[in-house]
Amino acid sequence: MNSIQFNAIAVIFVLGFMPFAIAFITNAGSSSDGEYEDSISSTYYAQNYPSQYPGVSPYAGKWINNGGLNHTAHYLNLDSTPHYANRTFVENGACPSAIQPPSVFPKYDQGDCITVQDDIPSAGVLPMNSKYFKQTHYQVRNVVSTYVGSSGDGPFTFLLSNAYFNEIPSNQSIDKLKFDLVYTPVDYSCSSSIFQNISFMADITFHTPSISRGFNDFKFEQNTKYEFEQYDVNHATYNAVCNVGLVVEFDFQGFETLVIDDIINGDWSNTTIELNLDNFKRTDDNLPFTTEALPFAGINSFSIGVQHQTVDPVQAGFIIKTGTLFLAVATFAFAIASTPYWDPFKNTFKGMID
Amino acid sequence: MIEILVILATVLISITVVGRAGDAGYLNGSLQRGFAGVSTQVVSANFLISYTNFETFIYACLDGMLGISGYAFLLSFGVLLIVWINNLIEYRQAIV
Repeated sequence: MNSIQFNAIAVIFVLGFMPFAIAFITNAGSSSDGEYEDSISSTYYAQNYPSQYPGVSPYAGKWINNGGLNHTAHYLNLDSTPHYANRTFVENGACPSAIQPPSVFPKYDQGDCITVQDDIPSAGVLPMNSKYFKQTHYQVRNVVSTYVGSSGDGPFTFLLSNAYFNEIPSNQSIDKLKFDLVYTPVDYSCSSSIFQNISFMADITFHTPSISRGFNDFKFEQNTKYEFEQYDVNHATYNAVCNVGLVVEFDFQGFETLVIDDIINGDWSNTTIELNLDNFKRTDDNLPFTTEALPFAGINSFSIGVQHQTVDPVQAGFIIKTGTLFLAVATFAFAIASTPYWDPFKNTFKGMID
Repeated sequence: MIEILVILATVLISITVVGRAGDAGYLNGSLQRGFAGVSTQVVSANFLISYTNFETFIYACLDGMLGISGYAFLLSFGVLLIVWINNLIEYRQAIV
């Protein structure tokens, strides 16, 4: 074997063997059966909600960021008691009075802030168990009859309590977590031009009483059309329905699954999840994101359905960590074999090639 | 940080490829060698970062997600890069 062939082995090792070995290790540890299970129970979840966030009473969900000021000035002009409009702007989990001088938001009442969400199941609305969540401008529904705000390109950040995850088994770790965000009060023709091809980035953070851990920069490209078969209780039939909606599916790598299992340790009843959606863009024409319909922008409520796929964390951990150890040993052996002190390649191929 | 590791690995690969090709009588002009080297480096770095989860895996190892196995892999990968750098300086080829 000549020197060119030896060095070809180096190239093959880095560009061929190593990526495939890593892909095998990470995927072998996180293969679930492909079936989604409901993370939300079908009934009202009457348990103590988390109170680790200061100033917040027990809640089922909470707005952290609702997309910016978002035409608040327009509502201020419409409203003789502007405090309604002031409540439509949530940033870092608080309404403006906490972060703006009184002259900007003079009549603000923090107690009626949009942030906190009650636990209201939206049974039968989506194909999976779901709950209602107030839209961005819910607090001006008494002032205006229609939503006049633009969607904005983010950030939209939701904090979801254990009420959204109480069906996840404590002895399993999640391989995939899927959020269906759908505005169901208005049905559209499935060929409506209201549906747009968009892209956005998503981050997910798991909060436990002792630790928070985020997984960032998941990229999504999809159409805002959410089509499904909805059950009509009056006629006992299923009808095709098209709503404005997004499906945000987090497919975790095997090692991320292990980290999630490590920080949550099966205690989903003390876990909240922060979901951040940002950098919304139109993908068809790359025009600025302005008035596009998003399921969570409006003066009503939308539905959040959560589903998961699980893996056995013990089995996944064994495969991933053992596989990584083998890869470490192989890489070290290859490093030593690259020196003049040990030539396994020459010995192996001796006599076969010149 | 991780990008630097990937770029370093791919630079070593491109130096190896161009050097061996030169020894074999190919890529005699400096322009040809430069073009081939840069092309090899860019293509292989893009391949590792965009089409594989190599970068994510390295991050996970650094972050402690894979425990002691992850740190062992990082150590081995570091040793491999050091050996190749030394070999390229001393012998003008990655594997001796």
